[in-house]
Amino acid sequence: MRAVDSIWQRNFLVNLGLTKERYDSALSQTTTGKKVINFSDSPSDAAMILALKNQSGQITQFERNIAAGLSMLKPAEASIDSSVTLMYRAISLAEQGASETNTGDAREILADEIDQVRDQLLNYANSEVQGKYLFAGANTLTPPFVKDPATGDITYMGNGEEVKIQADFTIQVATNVPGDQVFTGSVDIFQRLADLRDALRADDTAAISTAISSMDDVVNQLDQALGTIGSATSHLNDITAQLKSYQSSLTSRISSLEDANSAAAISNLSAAEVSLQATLKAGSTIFQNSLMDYLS
Amino acid sequence: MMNLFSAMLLGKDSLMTYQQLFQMVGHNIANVNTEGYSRQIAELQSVPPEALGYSSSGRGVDLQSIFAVRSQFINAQVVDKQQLQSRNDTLAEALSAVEALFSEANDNGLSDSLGEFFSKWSDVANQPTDLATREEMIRNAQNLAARVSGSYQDLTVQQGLQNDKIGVLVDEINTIGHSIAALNVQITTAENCGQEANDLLDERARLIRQVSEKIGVNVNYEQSSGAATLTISNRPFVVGSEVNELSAIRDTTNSSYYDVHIATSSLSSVDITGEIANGEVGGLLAARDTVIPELKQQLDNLAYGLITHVNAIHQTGFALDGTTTSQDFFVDFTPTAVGDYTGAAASLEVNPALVADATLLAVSATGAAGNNETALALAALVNETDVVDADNDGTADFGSFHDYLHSTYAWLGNQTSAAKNEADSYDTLLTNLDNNRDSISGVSLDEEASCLMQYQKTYNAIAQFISVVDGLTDTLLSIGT
Repeated sequence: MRAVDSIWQRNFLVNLGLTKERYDSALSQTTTGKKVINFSDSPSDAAMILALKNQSGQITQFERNIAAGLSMLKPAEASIDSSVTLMYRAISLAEQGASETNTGDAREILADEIDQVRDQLLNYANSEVQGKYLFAGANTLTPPFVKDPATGDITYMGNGEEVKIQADFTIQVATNVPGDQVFTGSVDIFQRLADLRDALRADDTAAISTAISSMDDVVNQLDQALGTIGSATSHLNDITAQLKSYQSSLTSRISSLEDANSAAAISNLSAAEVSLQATLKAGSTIFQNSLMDYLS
Repeated sequence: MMNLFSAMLLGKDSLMTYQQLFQMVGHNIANVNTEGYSRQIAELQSVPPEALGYSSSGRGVDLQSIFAVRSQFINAQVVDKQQLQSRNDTLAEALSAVEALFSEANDNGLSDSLGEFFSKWSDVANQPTDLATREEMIRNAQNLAARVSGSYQDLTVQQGLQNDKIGVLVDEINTIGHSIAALNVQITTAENCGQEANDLLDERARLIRQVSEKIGVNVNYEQSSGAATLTISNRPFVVGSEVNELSAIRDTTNSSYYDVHIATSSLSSVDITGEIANGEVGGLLAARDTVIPELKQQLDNLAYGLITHVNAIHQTGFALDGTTTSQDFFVDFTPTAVGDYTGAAASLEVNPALVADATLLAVSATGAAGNNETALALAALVNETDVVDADNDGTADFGSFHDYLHSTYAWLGNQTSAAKNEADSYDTLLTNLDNNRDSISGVSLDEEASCLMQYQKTYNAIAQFISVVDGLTDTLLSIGT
């Protein structure tokens, strides 16, 4: 092949262009830390990365959902816990009242105290978090238990719905226990307390004993509700642990697809730099030697 | 005496011939950097004696011709590959710009907004009665809608830019066409007078290459006149001195973008838009009329899937007041024909009633304020399959939304990288062709230097010869004195 100046020049420029391109690519991998920046860098990887990121985003959301769920379950658990303590206090008051040594006046005082316990329980049953009533089913905006000012009767105004959160891709977990499963329902605790109070007022020791024995069901019902909440909480904690490990496997898969191998990227960069320098050096010598120089 | 004079004349003529050679070498050297220049070499011939006879010798040297060294074959290949290279290069450039529009690099792309949209439904499900959460959800949906419709507008802007460029290119091609026609005339005239039209041929080859950069073109050379005939999609563009001009005519059936027409007579022209595959125009047309419309259609399909599926669920739910129901979440969209969702992406918008009043957001499936089943169902849409009508047959049979979007991205990425790779490989091919061409036609300074030395020596020798003949003449003349 007849080599002429323009071929040298063209080849030099083409090679310089390629070397600079390699340098640029190595530089952008090193500075961004990513090997897939545009879809065209690797279309299938780019799609996979976005799909994995979408999954990872969903998991982050599930974790938020679970946190929101726990923030409802924890105060509900605390309210029921306090209610149980309150019930033991009611039982001990009733046992004092059952004692034969007590007079009618003393029982009257105990009856008033039971009434206060009942009001306190009403407070617990109407607990709210961020303006939402915890034991109202889905009627979270209105107080679930309403006391009739005239008769003192307490009725449930909420509904029986469970409110669920999306805990992971398939599982929904209820984050409330409707009040009619805790405070009224099969055992109407308010009614039991009213019965106890009335028995004390009536000075009827037999009725007092019956009322005391019926308090066992009350505690059982509250314990059951605690159990429901406890198992929901531990279910959510289990899911959180699973999500965490799934999230970390996703992160590492995304990284393996998307992230440049930094050691390789840096050594590529320095290799590209050396070859760029060599190309430039060679280019500067191409046009130095010519027969023209020797003409006189 | 006669012979000495004719020897003197021979010397003079030879010197003049060599002066022409110096001129030629100078021309070659001066054009070492001229693109498309073909080096010229001289054909020397000895001049035979005036009358043939035993004792008659020749009369020196004559410059038969100066011709350019070129390969028609390589030039034809260059024209062929150039149009393919510039098509793919232009397409790759156009698609890279489109890719940048959809960049997800900073975690704020369309895919991310879409994920965020469904995520916010979960947030609302967690806090069904909280107004701030509802408002945040609606702001997020507005953001998604703006991204989808904004991407659609951005694509339209790109198409507009490509269209403008096509208009400019058509004018440029016509201008070059006229220059080629003018050169055809000059070349024919020169060749008819028996001259070598070397520089004109180089200039014409350069212009033909320029045309092939801009549009796919076929070139034929007429043997008798030396004129080049250029055809574009098998229709004559430049024939001899005539140019059938291209024109860019707005097509009302295609968003008033330019169609490219070629004149068939002074009054009529024919539409060749669909037949132009190569050159910059071919690349721009491919982007404007094929790739971007396909992307737009996929955005429309996605938007329509979103509108129908989100609305269907949202309609079943109840607002915070517990009674308002059957409301659209996105402004409803009615397809113009089965499977034709044109306009869905551009008009994607959150129902203004919800924007004005976030309590209208349908979160509850029963009407109870704390119920969140509608929001849960909407959040679950993110992984729902068969939500997009990918093949435009009127049935949503592709999905999820993210899968569809990501397959669109992968398709775009493949189109772009294919164009880039093609452009690169044609680039390499062209470099090789250019090198081959230069290896035949290019000027080598060393070669010219050696010619220069050779010619200089000969010139000196001839001058010496004249001086010797002059001395002989003097000797002869001094005999008489």
